[in-house]
Amino acid sequence: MKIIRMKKGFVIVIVSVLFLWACEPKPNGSDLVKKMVVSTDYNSSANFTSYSTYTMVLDTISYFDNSDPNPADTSAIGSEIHDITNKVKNKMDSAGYSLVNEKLADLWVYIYVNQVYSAYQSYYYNPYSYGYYGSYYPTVSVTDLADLYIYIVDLKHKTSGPYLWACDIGDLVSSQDQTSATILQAIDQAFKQSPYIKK
Amino acid sequence: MKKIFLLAAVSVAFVVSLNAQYYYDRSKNPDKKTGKISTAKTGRDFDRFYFLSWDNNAPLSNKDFISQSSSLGTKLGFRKRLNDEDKLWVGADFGWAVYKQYEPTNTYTYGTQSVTTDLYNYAYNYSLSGNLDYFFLPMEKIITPYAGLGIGAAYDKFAQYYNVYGSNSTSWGFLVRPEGGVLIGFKENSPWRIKAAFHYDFSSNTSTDFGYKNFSSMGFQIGLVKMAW
Repeated sequence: MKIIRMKKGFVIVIVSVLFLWACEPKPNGSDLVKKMVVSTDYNSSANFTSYSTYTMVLDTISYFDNSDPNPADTSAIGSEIHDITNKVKNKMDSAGYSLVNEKLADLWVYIYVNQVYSAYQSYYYNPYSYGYYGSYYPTVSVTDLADLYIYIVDLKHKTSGPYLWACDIGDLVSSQDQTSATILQAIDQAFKQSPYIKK
Repeated sequence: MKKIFLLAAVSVAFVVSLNAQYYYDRSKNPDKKTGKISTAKTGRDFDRFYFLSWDNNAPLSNKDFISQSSSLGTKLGFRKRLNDEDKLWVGADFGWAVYKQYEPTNTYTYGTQSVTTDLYNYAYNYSLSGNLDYFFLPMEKIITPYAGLGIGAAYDKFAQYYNVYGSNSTSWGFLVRPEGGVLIGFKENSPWRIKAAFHYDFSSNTSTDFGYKNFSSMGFQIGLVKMAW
């Protein structure tokens, strides 16, 4: 009887330990995605005051989606896209640059969205399932991420590097804000943390 | 002759009576020798106990990452009496604690790169230790203070979450845990007791990514003890 009691206690302890070991609480998902992450980087040799003009497309942005069956479908349009391009234009104007025809521009502002969708299917073997040898069961994990990228490229000195300034804003897919307000705030932040972008 | 026979009969009866009394007591613990403390015990001679505690901890190392106290923790363990003296008890503890801290939105600049985000910093701490406790009073008392030392292994996972992104780092280390506390029974030699104890944990876990050279904490645990025999 004593041995049974001891074994019972031991099993309870082991099960509790395994349960706690697997228990890793994480932040609330909706709290996590309230604000977007804004990352910027610039070419350290760039002299932003040496540029005066820029060019950019105002009515559309490039959109790359790896799950889109039509590879030619790479543009996004609409009022929200217009809000985004206008916001970037306003920031460039405020920094002292003038929007001009692409043939006359010193800088090219390029905006695009890259969406990566992946679904990974794997199988695990359950030896206790119905049937003599058990069965394989599929599990699927899905990842869907999208980032908004803004690049400023030097058109005057095309050999100076891939870009003068790069901005990455994400994640767009998980954002709870169905309008473009959160993205516009993030664009504000991108220019705020890049005070070197000025004429 | 009759007197001698009577004396012998009384002596035999006395011895038998003593033996009967002896075996009556031993029926509860047939394999045990009665020590000087357990001789005076009333009721069960508890020689082991199990406990489950709620553990509150304050981190002491790398407060730049997490400085907030954690009330998300537990300790689970058992002790077995080493000898009849009722003072030295040996056993094991499993500890689990989660530390977390929210960092409001801030801009972090590294060279030419800047990142603006809010951060959720987490540290998951698991520990397994062998423990030796010294009880200053017999276990049958209502209040039994003790001091103990735990030595074992600690596993830490440091994680940072921001938006849908995150990073983490794991580390194993050597753990030392001095501890002092008290068991409080509901009556003398109570089968159920309250455990209250302070402990200091030092573990050699390191994480260069998150700036940990070790992980140490101060904690207070309060829990329920089940005595067993």
